[in-house]
Order: sequence, then C-alpha cells, then structure tokens
Amino acid sequence: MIDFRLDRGSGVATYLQLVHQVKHALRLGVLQPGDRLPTAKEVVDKLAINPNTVLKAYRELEREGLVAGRPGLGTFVQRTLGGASFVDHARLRDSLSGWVRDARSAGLDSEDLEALFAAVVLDSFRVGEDTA
Amino acid sequence: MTSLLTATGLGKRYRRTWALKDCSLSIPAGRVVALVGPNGAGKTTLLHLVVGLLTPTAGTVSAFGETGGTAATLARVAFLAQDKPLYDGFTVADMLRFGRHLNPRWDQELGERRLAELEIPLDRKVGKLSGGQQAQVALTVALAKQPDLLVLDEPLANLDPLARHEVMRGLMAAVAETGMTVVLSSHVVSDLENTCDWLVVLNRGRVQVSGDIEELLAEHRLLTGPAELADGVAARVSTVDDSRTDRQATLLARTGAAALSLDPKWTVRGVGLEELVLAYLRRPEAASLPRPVLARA
Amino acid sequence: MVWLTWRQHRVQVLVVVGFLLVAGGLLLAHGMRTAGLADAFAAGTDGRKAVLGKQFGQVSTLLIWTAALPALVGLFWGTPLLAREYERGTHRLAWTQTVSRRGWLGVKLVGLGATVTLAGLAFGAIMGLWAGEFAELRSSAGLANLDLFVVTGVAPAAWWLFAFALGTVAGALTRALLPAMAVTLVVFFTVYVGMFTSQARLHYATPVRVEDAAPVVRGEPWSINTPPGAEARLPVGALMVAAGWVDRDGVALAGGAEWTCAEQENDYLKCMRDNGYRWFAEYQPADRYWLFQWTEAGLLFAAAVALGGIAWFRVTRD
Repeated sequence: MIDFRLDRGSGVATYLQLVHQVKHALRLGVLQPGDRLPTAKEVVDKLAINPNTVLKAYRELEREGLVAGRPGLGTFVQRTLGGASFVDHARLRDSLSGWVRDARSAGLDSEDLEALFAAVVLDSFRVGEDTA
Repeated sequence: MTSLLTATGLGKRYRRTWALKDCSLSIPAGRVVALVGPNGAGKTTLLHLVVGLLTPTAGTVSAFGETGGTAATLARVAFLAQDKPLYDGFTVADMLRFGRHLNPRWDQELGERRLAELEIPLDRKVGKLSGGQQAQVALTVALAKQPDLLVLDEPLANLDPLARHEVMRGLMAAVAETGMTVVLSSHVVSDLENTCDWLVVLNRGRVQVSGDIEELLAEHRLLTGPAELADGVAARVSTVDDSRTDRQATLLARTGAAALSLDPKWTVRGVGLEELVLAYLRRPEAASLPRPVLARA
Repeated sequence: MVWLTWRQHRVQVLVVVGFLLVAGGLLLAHGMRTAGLADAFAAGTDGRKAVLGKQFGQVSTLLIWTAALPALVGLFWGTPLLAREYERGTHRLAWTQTVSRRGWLGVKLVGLGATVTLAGLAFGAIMGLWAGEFAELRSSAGLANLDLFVVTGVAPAAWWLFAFALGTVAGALTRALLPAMAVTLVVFFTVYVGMFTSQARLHYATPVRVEDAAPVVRGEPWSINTPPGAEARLPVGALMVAAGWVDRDGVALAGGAEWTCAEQENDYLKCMRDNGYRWFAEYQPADRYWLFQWTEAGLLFAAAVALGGIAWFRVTRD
C-alpha cells in the first residue's frame, strides 16, 4: 500500500501533493489496478492532516478516472498511467526549453523565470473554480 | 449550506469594555475551524459564549440552531478549556467515570481504547501525568462524549512538538471517524495549517475574516511592483496590507477568482496561511467576510 | 452527579464521621465514668453534686473550643465547593457536561447540605446525651449554660449548615480559595461571637417576670443585688435575663437609694421594702429549651437558605 508524505514547506496544496504521489506511484508501478488506497482515517493517523483533504484528493483522482470508490469497501485503483505520458513529457520539456531560451535572451535571470512560471502555474490551477 | 455554528451581532461587555463587538459568523458542519488572533483579541470569550459558559451582552450565538449552554447544546458540544482543566486528585479512570456520570451519551469503550492506544495507565493520578498525557486525557474525556461539535481553547499551548503532533493526529482521526465539527483557537498559525479548512480571524474583539481556507488562499495574492504604480493597482483591488519603500510597493490584496491583468512590472504570487493572517492582523480595519447569509424569514 | 459529589468530597465526609466517632467514644467513656463516680452518692446530696461538678468541669473548659467546629465546616466543606473549582478552572470542565450548571450546583448543595445537617444533628445528640448525665447541676441544666446550649439539640446542625452556606457563598463571590476562607472565618466568628455578646438568645421569647420581696441569689460575691440572708432562687436551669429593684410605679431604681439602705446592713431588705422598692427578676425557664433551640435553628436555617440563594444566583448567571 502507498505511503503518503507531506512536504509542508512546498506551497503546494496538500490534496494536490497526495494526487501527485498517487500518480507517481501509478507511473512507477508501485500501485496496480485493484490495489486499495489507504482510508482517510489511515492517512490521517500517519500524517495528522484534515481527512477532508484526503477525500478531496481521492475525488480528484476519481474524476480523472484513475480510482473508484466502492462504498463500505474502500477506494481502489482502476487503471495505470500509460507510457504515453512519457512521450508528452519529452515534448513538453523541449517546448519549455525553447521558452526558457527565449526568456533568457529577453534578459530574465533564473529567479525571474521561476517567479513568472510559478505565477502562471498558480493562475492555471485555480482551485476555487471546483468547489461547488 | 446549512450552518452548524452561527453568531449574529454577537457582543460581550465586561464593565466598560467590549471584549467582543458585533461578531457575525456562519460556519458549515463538518469543518475544522481555526480561530486565530492575538492574545486579548477575544478568542476565549467567543468560545465561552459558544459553549454557554458566558451569556451574550448583545446578539446571539447558536449551535445546531440552539442557544449555547442549554440542555440541547450541552449534550452535543464538548469543550476543552485553556490549560486543559482536570481534577488532579482523580485517577484517569475517575476522569472517565466523571464523564460517564455526567453525560448520558457516553462511549466508555472509546475512552478506554484511546487511552490504551496512548499507553496512559488508568490507575495513575492525573496530577502525576506529563503535560502531554494530561492533554490527551482531557481530549479523551471530550471525545468519549461523542460530541457533534468539539471546541478547544488553545489545545496546543504548552505542549512539546511531539505532544502537539499527537493531539492533532488524535483530533483528525476523530474527525475522520465521526465527521464532527471542530473549532480550535491558537495564536500560532503554523500549527493549524494542514489540519484546518475554515479560518476565523479575530482582532480586537471583531471578526476580520471568516471563510474556507482554500478559497481564501485562492483569492488573495501578494503583488510586488514599482511604488509609482501602486496607487493605481490598490484602487482596483481590495487591498489588505500595503507596505511601500520609495521605490517599491508590496500589496497583499484580495484579487478574487478572476485573473488580474497587470503591468508586467508587477510580480504576483500566492500567499501562505500565516502570511495571510499576519497581513489582516496588521490592518484591523480590513475584513474579508463572505456575503452575509441572510436569515430566511 | 451523586457519585461525583461523593468522589470530590469524600475526604471531608470521612473526617467528620471519624471525628463524630472519636468524640462520641470519648464522651461516652467520660459519661460512663461520671455515672460510676456519682453513683457512690445518693441522689440530691452535696457530695454527688460535687462529683458531677468536677466531672463537668473537665469538659466544660473545652466547650468554648467547639466554636471551631462549624468554622471548620465552613472552611473545609463550604469554601472548596465553588472557590476551588473557580481557582483551578475545573468549573469550565464541570459546567460544559450534559448535566447543567443548575443540576451540578443543586445536587451538591442539597447533598452536602443534608450531610452536614445530619452530622450536626448527630453531634448535638452525642453532646445532649453526655450533658444528660449532669442534669442535676444548676450550672448545666436547661438553658442555664449557653456554651452547652449551642452544642446540644439541633443548634449544632443549624450552625454547621449556616457555616457551610457561608463558605459556599464566599467561594462564589471571591472565586479564590484563600480569600474565601478568610471571608468565611471573619464573618462566621463575627456572627457566632456576636450571638453571645449581644445576648440575643436572652430575648428569643418574652422572659418570665417575677416580682418578689426577696432578691435572687446569683452566686456572686456580696453586692448590692445579693444581700446576706436572701433565700429565693431562680428555678433550676433558668437563664437569667435581668434583675433589680423597681419602685412603686415600676420604674427601675435610678441609683442612690440602695446605698442609703446598704448602710443598714442586716436591715437592708426591710429598708428597701419600707421605701417601696420591689425586687424583680426576668428569666427564661428551663422548659423553653426546645423552643429556643428551634428558634435559633430557624434563624440560622433562614440565613443559610438566603446565603445559598445568593450563591445560586451568582453561579447560574454567568
């Protein structure tokens, strides 16, 4: 079973960290379809975080079709994350390298680059939009 | 969104001074609420009003739609006061017996199991336990009452880091199991960061902020840019904190959900919970409250 | 709630029960020894009275210390009830359980109040039984000895209940243990000693007035009021309220005339009578013992209820 970790200083929302860790585990094959994810209570027992955060992460994963919750039984992995994402990674990496070259020739240093990138990412992942 | 805990125009006066003035809150069920503010802000007064240890001078406060301190709420609300009072001469088992005799809805088995897991012996006198163990006994007495609302006044104060972690862990596990609503106060924001999902900021007896933490963090930004453009930007956004040198301005603003179009000289970044709270505390006039949920007549 | 009251106050209860057992045992032993010694003499003889007097004297010097008993009740039953809860902050624990504040206070006041009253009744009974051995003595029978009056019958129960209520309300008002104890001690002794010095007990009922040519012997050294040869006495067990000379019109002697007569020495009485003066005495007869007991108990009970009411309102309103 997956062991979650929390990086409290990273500035990334906790539920997103859990989502990423599940996806990472899926890519590495640590999690296989049919595996049960820890219950909210089990996660909370280890990490002392709000159980709603765990439920939110699992809902997000369920929305993406990666897991499915079965009432009374738990949350189970549905599918793997295919190798296709590695192809995407390579393409995106190239495109990002191009952007960085662009930005550097415009005079931005590494801190400017990181700040600009972080702001764009933040805007893109606006969480307020999802809560009903 | 049904509100579990509601305060309307709540005020409490002691002799000449108002410890709380015109406080209005509407907190939904199932939340873990962080009540923060400097010492003397009125946090303890607010909590005592919620649990019925005090009666309001003005306004009302209710949990589950019932006034605090009445039979209806006493049965469903558990309170852990500051300094976690216990009867020093009692044994741990006596403290459980205390809870059992004074509360019809009592889960003795839950209490004993929890204490066993924490390896706290039942026959030890409470006065002889360590600070962390006493905190856990006090928390167990509150949890075994099976409350729908658990209120804690500075539960993490005077505890070493391990004890703090253990207390929060136990609280979160209880929330996971029962879905109860929790309100805890602290003047150390970092303790509450990953556990609370609703923030109430109390400053000088008034509610400055009351809202879902994720929404609040999504709606606030830290803007850094040239001082000469600051006034223009400040006029367009709802600024909480504004600090300037002769060249540079740093604004912490409530920018809302929509993306903001700014001169590229401005850098925009998100804020952490502690930064957000500090900014509001520095500016007592600023407020960030949800639009009032008017009572349905 | 009953369990909690017992658990929090069991030390006080056990101490009082222990005290009653010890005091009862000692007094029982003393009474039995007294009976044994006195039986060597026939009833009514001077010898018997001498023995009884001596035995009584062994304990009567301690009677004044019995004032400490209700004071201790006030300090150790009354003040901790509220003052200790406030001081330790445990009231915030106790009053947020499902049992309401009224329930908590009600059970404690009634439970502890009743226990204190029963203990006081037991003490009064023990002292009454012991004092019964000395019924023949003028100085201890009926109402004659006020120090004895206050520790027999229902008076101790009333004083203990009053002190308990006083300690409780002191705790409710000061919300701290030591100040509450100080207030309780000061107020209690003011009232207790005041009852003696004001001689209020003398006036629980209109005294019986006796006007007589022959003055009353009070057992004091020769004074204007006890000329030699006087025969009449107050009934056994009576409590002297006032005595003196009044003239024909009932006006009390102003001063002066009795000195003139005093020079006559042996004809003092004849001289006063010839001048139209009559002796009067006002006293409370011994059979009013229980009337006075219930009067005192009633006053103290009313005071205790009033004090308890103040504590109640202070606690249940914020």
